[in-house]
Amino acid sequence: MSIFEDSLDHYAANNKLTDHNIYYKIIFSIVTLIINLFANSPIVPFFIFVICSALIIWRAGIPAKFYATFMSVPTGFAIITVIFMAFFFGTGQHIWNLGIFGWGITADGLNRGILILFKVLGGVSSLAFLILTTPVNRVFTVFNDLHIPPEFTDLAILMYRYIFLFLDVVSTMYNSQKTRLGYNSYMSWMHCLAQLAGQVFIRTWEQGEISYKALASRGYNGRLNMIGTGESIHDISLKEWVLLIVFEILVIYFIYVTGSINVVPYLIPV
Amino acid sequence: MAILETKDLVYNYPDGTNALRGINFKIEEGQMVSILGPNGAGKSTLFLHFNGIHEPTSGSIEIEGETLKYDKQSLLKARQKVGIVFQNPDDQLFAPTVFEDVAFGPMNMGLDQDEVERRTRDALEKVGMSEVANKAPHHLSGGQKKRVSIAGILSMEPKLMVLDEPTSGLDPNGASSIMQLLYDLNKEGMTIIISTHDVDLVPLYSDNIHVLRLGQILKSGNCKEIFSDRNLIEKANLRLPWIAQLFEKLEGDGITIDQTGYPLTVGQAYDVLKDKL
Repeated sequence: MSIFEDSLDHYAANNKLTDHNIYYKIIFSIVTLIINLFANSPIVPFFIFVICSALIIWRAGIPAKFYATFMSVPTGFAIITVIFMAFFFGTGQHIWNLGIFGWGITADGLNRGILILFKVLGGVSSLAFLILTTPVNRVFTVFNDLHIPPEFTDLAILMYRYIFLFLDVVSTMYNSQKTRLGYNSYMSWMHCLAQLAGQVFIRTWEQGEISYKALASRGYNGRLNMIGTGESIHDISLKEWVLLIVFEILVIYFIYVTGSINVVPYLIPV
Repeated sequence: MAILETKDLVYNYPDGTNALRGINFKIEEGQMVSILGPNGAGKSTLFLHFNGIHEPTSGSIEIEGETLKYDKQSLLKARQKVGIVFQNPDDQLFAPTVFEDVAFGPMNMGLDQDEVERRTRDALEKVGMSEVANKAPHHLSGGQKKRVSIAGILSMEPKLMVLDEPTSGLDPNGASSIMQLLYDLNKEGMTIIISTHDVDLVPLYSDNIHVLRLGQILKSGNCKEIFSDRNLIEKANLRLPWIAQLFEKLEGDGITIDQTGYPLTVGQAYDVLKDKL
């Protein structure tokens, strides 16, 4: 099962925080995310990012390299946003000129860009804490408590299971095409990909039929009756509640204290 | 009493292909029966009739003497009594964790949570998969998946368990240990039907064989009767077990070891040879 060894799914099911109360993790992650959105200065989001990353890497034991890969996509987008914000979305005097088309960076734009960058890092890392430490199936049981319509949960459960089979089928077919010299030129590439897509569609259809038969054999009646894992929000200890509330209040306090301290003019004097 | 009986079962696919042509099949409580047949003989199609997934074109199915009807309630009842383990475990396992998958059947039966948990634990214990209860199915090996899908049926505590090629795709040790598991379950009173084309394994565990070919049962009988019928074996695209082939070859040289027929397993061969040598 080596192809799953370095996957999100694998780490979510095998880290030091996997068995922690899921409600606690969800409340921590969502509340931190929401508070993070109210920040007007990049300082607090930056510290949220540092704290969540520390929790993920040291407390949960997710390999730093994997975490870095995980964060690279949102970070990449955020950096592009900084550039666009700095150049095009600010008002007022330019603090630096590019020299062509009269483009330049404004203090306002740069501040906004940096704020967004750190808000993204803070928000994504607090969600990553939940995603990286919790297997998906346990999130499904919480869906039920949140009164999300069972149709959505059922679909999500089936999709989660079959995505892995789907990937397996795709990679097998892809390899068999390559074995027979597929994908060797541009036209062959187009042709092979079209065939692969068509075959996968047919396979999916067939798999759906068989899966229905298998479910029906076990009394499926249009609703996936899943057994709960027996976790409850009441299992969170008083100590944990106090810790969580103190943490969130501190975060709110620091957001209040730091106000709108920004990169310009504090870090880069104009 | 017959736990399951089919009467003149005929099934045509929507495109008109005759999949089953008049099957008369009967299994008594406590038996372990093998259905032997080549690929495409109609084994899987026949099995899907046993719990009402397919509705026969003509003929009928009786479960514990009651003719199967195709309304919702009767079907649910039939599916509790007759559990089918699918050939490919990936077709069957759908839940995010093993425990939830095994609990799926009993949950559908409307049992209370404690009972469902007890049955699930028992079933996983029986197949020796308790330690993977919280894993996701795609993290298991082929043999483990097979065991979990058997547990998924066991937890419903059916009267009759039907397994479509339980040894396919498993390594030799995995295959024998699955057969041993089924043999033990049968000893505990579970009625079992398996389909297979593994002629080397079958005689070890089952002494009641039906040979199926092109949607018809060619012959029913015990191992000796089936495997001594040269004609039948050829017609059904099967072969003799390796051990029997050895004795057949010896017989060709004029050395008859056992007058009652070829030994079919290593154990039987050992017994007859030990007496001779």
